[in-house]
Amino acid sequence: MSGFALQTLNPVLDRELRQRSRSRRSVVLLTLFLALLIGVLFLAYKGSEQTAQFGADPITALTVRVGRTMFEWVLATQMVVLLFMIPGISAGAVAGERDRQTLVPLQVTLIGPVQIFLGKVLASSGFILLLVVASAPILAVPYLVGGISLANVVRALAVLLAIGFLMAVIGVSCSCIFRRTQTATLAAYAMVLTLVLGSLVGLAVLAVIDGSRGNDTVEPRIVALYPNPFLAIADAAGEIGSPSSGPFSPIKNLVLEAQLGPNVQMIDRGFAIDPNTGEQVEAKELTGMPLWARSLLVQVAVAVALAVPAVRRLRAPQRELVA
Amino acid sequence: MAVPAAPPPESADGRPALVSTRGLTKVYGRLTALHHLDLDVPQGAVYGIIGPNGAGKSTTFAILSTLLKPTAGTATVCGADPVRQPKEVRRRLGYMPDVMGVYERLRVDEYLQFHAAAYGVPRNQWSELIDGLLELVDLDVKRDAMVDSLSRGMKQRLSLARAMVHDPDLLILDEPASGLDPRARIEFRLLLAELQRLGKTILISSHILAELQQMCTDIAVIEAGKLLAAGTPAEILGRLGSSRRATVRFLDGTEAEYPVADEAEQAALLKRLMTEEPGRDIVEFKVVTHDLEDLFLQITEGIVQ
Repeated sequence: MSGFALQTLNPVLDRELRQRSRSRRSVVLLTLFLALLIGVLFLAYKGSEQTAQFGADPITALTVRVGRTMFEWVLATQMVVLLFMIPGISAGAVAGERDRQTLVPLQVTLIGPVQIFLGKVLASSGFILLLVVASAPILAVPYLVGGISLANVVRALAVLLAIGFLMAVIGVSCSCIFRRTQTATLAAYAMVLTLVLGSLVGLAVLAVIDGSRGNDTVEPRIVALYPNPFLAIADAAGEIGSPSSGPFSPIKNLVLEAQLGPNVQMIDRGFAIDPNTGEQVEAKELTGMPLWARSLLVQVAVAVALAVPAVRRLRAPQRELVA
Repeated sequence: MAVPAAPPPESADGRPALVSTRGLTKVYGRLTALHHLDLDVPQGAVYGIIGPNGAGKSTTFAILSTLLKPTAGTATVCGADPVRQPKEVRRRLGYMPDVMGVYERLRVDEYLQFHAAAYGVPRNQWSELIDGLLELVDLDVKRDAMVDSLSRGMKQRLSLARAMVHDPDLLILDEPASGLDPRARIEFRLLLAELQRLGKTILISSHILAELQQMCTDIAVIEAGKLLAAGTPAEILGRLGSSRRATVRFLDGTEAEYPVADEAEQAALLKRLMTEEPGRDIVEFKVVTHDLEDLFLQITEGIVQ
């Protein structure tokens, strides 16, 4: 899209992109991000190689394992960095305008609150898109090593971008709701932490409730994990519900345990027995919508729930001056 | 559904009012910031609002500029209601807040382009429009400069250019001269005179009362959210009785003060003193004119109501 069209379509987005493109911080962040991913890729390769020396896997199985481990480590690092970076980028979007006293002149123009909000979200997401696209060649390395399909790579990148967009919505929403940048940033980080850690706490609570009731349904326990962005990315990366030793293994094992049901004793990764019967238990297959899609839907719901009051806060006239 | 525009109200002297408020009230918790404010700003006027800090000037401006909802009362700006028809008002209103926020890493021309786009000005008009505005505010040489590198006076002028980017009929300027050095203030005053010549209606607040007296055609004095006086500067000064007084100091050390309406009365007084009181030698004959500051102090102290 030409600058002209963008300027007319969403002046806020055009201005933000202009400003960001001139910021030295963007260049530094991009460089550091890529350097970190290359470092992680190298370490993952070395780690897998050393493990392979002690294993007895055939060479094909070995390359599959090395490729998948590298892929998961790079993806997990991207996820952690983005979750850490996005609140910092997006939470100052509107609150920063208030601090700089530039919001009022914007509110008295003909730009509506939705357009301002979208401009801010897309500008924050634009930078995330830049990071993800720039790092795509790094993900091509594990793809060439083997063990993952092109569909795995594309799906994982798409889910990563979707999560980035949703986290930007949450960050910009906090920026609209809270007056000061510091408060908005803290709130945005708190929201991300709640999604990541709160879902684990929720899972633990449901597991206890489930166990006490003797309920063996799979769904209620996994539902608690839906808001967790790591569930979406782990599932998008593939092979969730199967044994893993990569960075996604904790969340994969949680899903596996939930699929196996309560009162089942895990003997080894992927191998479980029912202590009452002594028989091996198979993990229950999830049917319907894949986990990554379910997880994204829940995150969309959270983002929308925050975006609605946030856009309201941008409306003028208000009962009280927010700026 | 679009709400039809109301016919323009009239100010007390029969001029059509571009801005009109009736019983405008704003309450924040226990604080009444505006108390049944009735204002009429005639079309083409430079209308100054005077009041101490917390008088309700900025609250009034925020309501008229579609930023704040009043608790009670009505306002009409350019024939539209700022609460129910904010977009109609914004199309015809340019608002300049007291502090100009600055975008980093944005050039002066890009800053104006951004606001032109935000007001929906067609792209093919931007170049000519921005050239004209920068020339008007004397910033044409700063077109490629970064906004955050400008001096405060330049930022204020750029802020004014921004407020005019969609060629509004009405400009609301909240303390536009605050923080400016004397030279920048004079330049700003000349700029406002030029805007008035261009037919803009200007609603302005300032702490520098002498400045308002020089540039305003109409003045309103408000304190604690209440309108204390409104009218032309001459009308309001007239309420002080005679605004000109001659102070005479005699050789014997006594002093006397005489009201004088104009220079003819002043000359007559001097002649009378010389002829009727020949024994009293005059050492000093001084004419003092009451200005807006005297008026403001007297009104806000309750002397004139």
